[in-house]
Amino acid sequence: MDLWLIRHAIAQDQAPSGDDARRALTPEGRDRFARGVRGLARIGARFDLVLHSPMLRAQETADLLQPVCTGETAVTSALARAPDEQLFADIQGTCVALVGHEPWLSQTLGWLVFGWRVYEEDPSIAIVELKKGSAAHLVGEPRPGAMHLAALYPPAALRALGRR
Amino acid sequence: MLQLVKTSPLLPVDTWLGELARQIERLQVAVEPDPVHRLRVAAGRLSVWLELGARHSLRPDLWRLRRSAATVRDLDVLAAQDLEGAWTETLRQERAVEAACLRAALNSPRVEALLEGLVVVPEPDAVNVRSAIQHMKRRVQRAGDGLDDPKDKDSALHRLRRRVRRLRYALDWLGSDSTDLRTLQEHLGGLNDLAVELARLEARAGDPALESRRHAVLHEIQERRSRALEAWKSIRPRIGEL
Repeated sequence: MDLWLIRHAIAQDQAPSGDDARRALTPEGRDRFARGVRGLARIGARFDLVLHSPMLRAQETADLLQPVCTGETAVTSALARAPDEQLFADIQGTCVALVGHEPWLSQTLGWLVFGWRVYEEDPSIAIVELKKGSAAHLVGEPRPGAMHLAALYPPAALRALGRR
Repeated sequence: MLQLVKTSPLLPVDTWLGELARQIERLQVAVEPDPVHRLRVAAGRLSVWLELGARHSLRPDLWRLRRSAATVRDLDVLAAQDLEGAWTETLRQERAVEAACLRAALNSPRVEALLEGLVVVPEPDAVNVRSAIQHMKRRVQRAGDGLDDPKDKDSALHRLRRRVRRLRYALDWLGSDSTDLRTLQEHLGGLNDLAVELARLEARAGDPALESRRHAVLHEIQERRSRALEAWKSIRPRIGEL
């Protein structure tokens, strides 16, 4: 299967209420990510499932992915915490996008590719840095050590692809 | 009456969010008819609230939640009728199975995540609300236009029922008068309940004990359909004025 790990787009530094889960995307974040989605469309990404965390910025990023979503959208709190087996159980389909947060997305990537939770041994190890609005494309089976990293798209690269 | 008096502010979302959470809690204890119905209503109203804010995420989750309670609700509506004994027992057994599925769905972490997600969504802004109402209005009108096609009348009525419900919920969020839509929705809802019953009766077509009920339902469907079409004709011009 194809699994895409997508970090939410640029969001407010702080929600008016001060609640981290209520941070919305900024207008700039929306605009940039919408252009990045055109890049995803250009490279043929079509998701039959988009899973997102309950946090507002992830919901809003998942909304912007609608042009490349051919199937369902679903919320899971497994994307709002360090990765665990529950997250892998939620992944059903042939091309799935996970819209979530750092450092958990890169921890997920490390676990799926290397097979063990590198960050638990040394939290300072950053397997990969996912900028806001970037996407990592993994291929294989969604279980620890059974995927490989096919491509990593920084947000600017996705936008550039969308312009072509 | 049918009137759109304003497009903001909306009624506080906490009212229906709290209602949804309360009914989920009640159903986790016992799958009684009242919380099943109220869960479906709250989920439907919250879905419309999201649509008013031009938000897509969480609507599929609310739809799945509503759907997980649909069969139990259908069986509860049937159970409220004066049904023949042996069939009642079959329906009771089916309900027990469906109720167990519903409880399992409600205990899933997805439902908790849905509630967490709903809590953080801000109130829809007036521009989105205005545009969403116009969109819902056009959808109702198109569904109503489908009634002119005699070949597709049943599915057109079904479509109209769902779209009228969403428009009515939208007006309710705005505190607008939706009495006429409610009346139409009740006619269409009653018709749908009968259609569900008829489908089940036809699945047991060989049972002579149910034959008189089947004829009665067919007759009631004709009556209800006429009343629903009358109600639609009366409200149709006013939908365009919203």
